[in-house]
Order: sequence, then C-alpha cells, then structure tokens
Amino acid sequence: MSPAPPGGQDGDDRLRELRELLAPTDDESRERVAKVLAPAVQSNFERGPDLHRTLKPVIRETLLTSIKHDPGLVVEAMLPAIGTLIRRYISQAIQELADSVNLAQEQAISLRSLEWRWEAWRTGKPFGEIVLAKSLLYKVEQVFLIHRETGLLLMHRTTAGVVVRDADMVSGMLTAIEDFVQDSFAGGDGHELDTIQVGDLRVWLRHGSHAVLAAVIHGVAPPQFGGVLERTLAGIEEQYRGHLSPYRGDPSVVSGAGPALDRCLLGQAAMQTRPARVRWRIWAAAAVATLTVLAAFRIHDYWKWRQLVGRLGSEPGYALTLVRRGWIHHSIEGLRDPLADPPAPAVESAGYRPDQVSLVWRPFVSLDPRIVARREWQPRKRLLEETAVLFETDSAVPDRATLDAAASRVRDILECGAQLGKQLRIHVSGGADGTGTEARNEVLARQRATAVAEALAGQGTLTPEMLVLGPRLAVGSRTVRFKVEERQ
Amino acid sequence: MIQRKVCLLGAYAAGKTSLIRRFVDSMFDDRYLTTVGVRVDKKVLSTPHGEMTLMIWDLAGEDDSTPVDLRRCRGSSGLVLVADGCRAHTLDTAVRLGSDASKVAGEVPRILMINKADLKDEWEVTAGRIDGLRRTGWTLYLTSAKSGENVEEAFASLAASMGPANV
Ligand SMILES: Nc1nc2c(ncn2[C@@H]2O[C@H](COP(=O)(O)OP(=O)(O)O)[C@@H](O)[C@H]2O)c(=O)[nH]1
Ligand SMILES: [Mg+2]
Repeated sequence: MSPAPPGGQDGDDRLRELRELLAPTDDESRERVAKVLAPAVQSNFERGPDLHRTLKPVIRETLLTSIKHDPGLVVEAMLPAIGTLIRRYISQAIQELADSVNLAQEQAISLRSLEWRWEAWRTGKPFGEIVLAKSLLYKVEQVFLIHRETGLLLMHRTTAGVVVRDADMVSGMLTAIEDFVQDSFAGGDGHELDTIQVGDLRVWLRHGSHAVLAAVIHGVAPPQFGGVLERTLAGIEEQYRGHLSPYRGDPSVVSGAGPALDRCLLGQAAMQTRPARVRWRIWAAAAVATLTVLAAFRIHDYWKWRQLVGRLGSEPGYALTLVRRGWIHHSIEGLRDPLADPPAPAVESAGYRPDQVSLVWRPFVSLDPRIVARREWQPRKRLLEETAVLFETDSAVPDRATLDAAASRVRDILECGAQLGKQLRIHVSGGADGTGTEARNEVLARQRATAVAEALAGQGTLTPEMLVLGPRLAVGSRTVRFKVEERQ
Repeated sequence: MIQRKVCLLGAYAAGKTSLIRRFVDSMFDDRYLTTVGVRVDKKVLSTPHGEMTLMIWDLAGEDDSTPVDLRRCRGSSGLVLVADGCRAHTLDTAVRLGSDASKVAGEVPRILMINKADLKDEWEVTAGRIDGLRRTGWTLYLTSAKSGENVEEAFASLAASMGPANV
C-alpha cells in the first residue's frame, strides 16, 4: 500500500481525516468530495510526480489483486494487443503438436506399431530404430497444381488406385483454407503455410508467384521432398509464365506439365507390400500367444487339480470314486465318513473357488485307523473311566484280574490318543472303605493308587510323567479309578 | 474446359447460401462457411462459348460485426451481388460491396440478385428502385432461393457475359 502515514497521535488524526474525506458519512460531503476530487488530482499531477509516486504502489497492488482474483478480465483487456502474437505462436504450436501427436499415436496404438514391435523382436534391432526407418516410409498420392490468384485447378495427378473427390473443389477449398489460416494465424505478413494435416494425410504446399503446388502425402516424407516440389514448381512457372499471368481460365495451357508432376508422385513401395506379409505374421504370433496363454492356464489348472485330488485322496475318511476335470467346472464324487474333516479347506488351499468344484459325497464308515480312533475315542475313554481296580480289605495289593483289565484299557486309550495326536495324562485316584481309622484310610488310599500307577508304568507307551496321582476317592470305595485328561 | 471463379457477395441472410444450395449439389459441409468463412462450390454450365466450369465462392458476412473479406474476390471473373428484397438497405450493401470488390477483382461482369421474390408482398424494395437500377446498367434478377425462380437464368447470364473475351 501507500507509504504509511507518520505514526503517533498526529498520524491517527490525519488518518481519521483522510477516512472522513474518502468515505464521507453523509451525502452532502460525499457530493463535495466528488466535485473536488478530479480537479485536485489533475492539478496535483501538473505540479509534479508526488501523487504519481504515491499512487503507483496502490495501483500496482490493486492490479495484482484483481488479476489474482479474475485473470480472465485482464486477458480480455490485453488480447487485442497480444492476439496476433499468440495466434502466431498457437499456429506453430498446433502444427508441431499435430506432427508429434500423429506420430506418437500411430506408434502407440496402430497395428503398424505392433508390426514394428514384432519386427524389432524378430530382428533384435532396437524398437526406436525400426520406428525411425518405418516412419520414413511415405507415399505421395496426389499432386495439385493450382493457379494462385484464382484458386482454380490447373492440373491434378494421382497415383494409381487413389480415389479423388472433385479435384476442382478441393483445389478451391484448399486455397480458401490456406487464405483463412494465413489471415487468422499467420498475421497476414506473407508467411505461408507449408503443411496441412488432413486426417492421416499431410498436404505439403509450395508457393510460386503464379502457382501453388500441393502434394497429398500418406506417411511422413523426408525433408528432401520439399526440394523436389520447389524445383518442379520453379520449372513449371518458368515454362508457363506467360499463360499464368493473366490466366484465361483454360487449364489446357499447362497440359505439358503432366510428366513433371508425375515425377512428384514419389514414395516407397514398401508401404504396400510389406504389411501384408508382416500382418500375416502378426496373426500367427497372436495365435501362438493365445495358445500359449491357454496352455499355461491349463497347465496351471492341472497342478491345482492334482493338489486337490491328492489331498482329498489321502485325507482319512474319504474314498474318491469319480474325479472329472473340465475347462471351467470340475467335479469330485465319493464316499465320506461323517467323522472326516470337511473338504472345503482342501478345495480352497488348492486355489479353487468353492463354486468351481462340485462335490458329491455319500456317507460310509471308514476303517482308516485315524477315523477309527476318532470314532473310538469317546467310548474307550468312558470305558477306562468306568474301570475300577479292586482291593482286599486293608490291602494295597491290587486284584490281579481287575488290574489286568485296567491295564488293557489304558493301552487302548493310549493307542487311540496317539492316532489322534493327543497329549494325555491319566489321573489315578485311590480310595478306602469306611472301616478303620481315617488316618489309616488316607495312607491306604495313597498306597493303592501308587501301587496301581507303578504296575501300569511299564505298560506300552505309558511313561511315568503321564501318570499322576489324583485326589482321594469318596469314602466307601476300596478301589482305584482313572480320569483321562487331554492336554493342549 | 474453361474455368471461372465467381464470388457471391451480399448482406448477411440475404440468401446467398440458399441460392447456391438451389443451384449446385454441394460437396463441402456448411461448417466450412462458419469456420473458414468461405465455401467453394462448382457448377458446370453451357454458355454460348461452350461449356464453362464455375467455381463459386460463397463468402460469409456481411453483418455489423463481420464484414465480408473482399480479399477473397481476388482473381474473380464475375460477381454475384445478392440483396434481400424484404430489407431495402441490403440493396445498398450489395451495390457497395460490388464497387468495393472492383478494387480487388477489377471491373469484372456482375449481376444483381434481389432475392426472396416469393415474399413480394413484404418487399421494401420498390419497383421504382429496381427500374432505376436497371436504367443505370445493372443486370438485375428478382430471384427466389425458395421457389428457384430465376436462379439458373441469373447464373447463366453471368456465365455468358464472362465469355473468353472478358477474362
Ligand atoms: N422465403 C425465402 N426465404 C429465403 C430465401 N432465400 C433465403 N431465405 C432464408 O433467409 C435466411 C438466410 O439465408 P442464407 O442463405 O443463410 O443467407 P446468407 O447469409 O446470405 O447466406 C434463411 O432462413 C433462408 O431460409 C428465399 O428466396 N425466400
Ligand atoms: Mg451464408
């Protein structure tokens, strides 16, 4: 903002005064200020640069703020002045953009680029090199010789097989478009248009003083082609100068120029013959690629399938009777013991979704030791826990028969537990009947339990750690009993 | 075959484009007119001097904001000036454009079409005005792009007057 007013009381007063002046509260004083403001500013300017210097930063700041706020406003104000410059710049930029975009686009997505990539892969040459070589392929399809002043067509030549709409009208429109571009973009300063992009065609233009030579080119012609056009045009102008200025509207006067124009119909034939062969290879490559993908897919599926069938086949409680692998859906049928593990985790871990494999099971009783163990576990446990080793009154010597029965049941439960991978502990608890003193009974109960535990310790896989003395049994039982504990 | 460039000039909405459409089968889209400001059409006519190809340039304009770009008349062998009979001032515009174009194209043959003859009831251009123009040497046609009245005749007469002698 403007230089700050001097500080202090004095400054504040002046500030208030100024505010009063600039933003008067009543209409009358507003009126007064309005009247004096313009002449005051005017005379101040005439006196010297003071006010100017004061206002300069204010205006600058305001301008900047306003630009920041609405850039469009300023652009609008400036456009007439810089318009020509911008237009010229844009026309050039558009031209360059069109060139590069067209080239890039062609390379990125066209079938031709696929061909190039294929060729690069086949020959081992870098892709860029191939592109460069191929980009130079071009074909001049048409040449127009146009009378410059009238836009009338003097002569038109094409390569064989090129379909042309009315060349007279193309010639006229080309001239009109050229005028338009020149006026609106080149600023009308005599700078002439050299190339026009029409779809994937490029029109190269060369201007003489009486005629224009326009070549319609497919692909990208080398820069030297410009020289060919220039020399041809110069020759024609030299030869027919008298007929072209003034031009009487009869194109037959330049009919002798035909061969010269035909010589401009250049190009590399490679463009037509090559792709047919290469395209065939592309299809072959695509087919091979497709087959490879399919085969890979199939092989991958085969491994998944083998994993699934192998796993279910070796899973206890399963007997597979039918396995069928289709392209998408697979099915497995068989027998399954209700105590077997569910099949879903096997399907999932093989990498299939549940809906990809249909499973049909009929129940059966499996004799697989692991399933048998599952089936037998509860009964055997119950059996052991119902077993009692008997004793004579006041004796800690176990009854032979009942001890043997207990030992055999312990072996059964151990075997079963081993099948199921369980960690077991067997609690051995002794008891005594109501006769005799309590102290004696206490001792007797422990002695009985210990005696049984010792007798069992040698049995099968039972180790001493797996036997623990349990709590004393309720009074009135001259026995030793067992409790099976499963440990995690 | 002889070829001639002809320019169509006149006030905005006088009916230039409609007259062309009546006269030839266009190859280019109307869009060219709005973007490029010119549309070129072609018509082959037979004249007393033999067949002649007219390349007809329809120039966009003229209203207050976009004047006709008369540089486009360069090399013209003939001019077609079009006015709207319903708007008298378009006749002044047509006459003025004709004399301005002479500076670029030279004193080439020209005809004046007063168009929308099918709306004669609403015409502002009077019979007296038309007679006056005829007396001062104008070749003048009352045309209608809508009915086609006098359109072929007008172009034919222009073509005839642009014979080999009048390049
Ligand atoms: N009734 C009538 N309407 C016409 C005639 N010629 C042109 N028009 C209408 O006038 C308007 C302007 O015509 P246009 O050809 O675009 O005028 P331009 O600006 O001179 O090219 C359009 O709505 C046409 O339909 C005509 O002969 N009769
Ligand atoms: Mg129009």
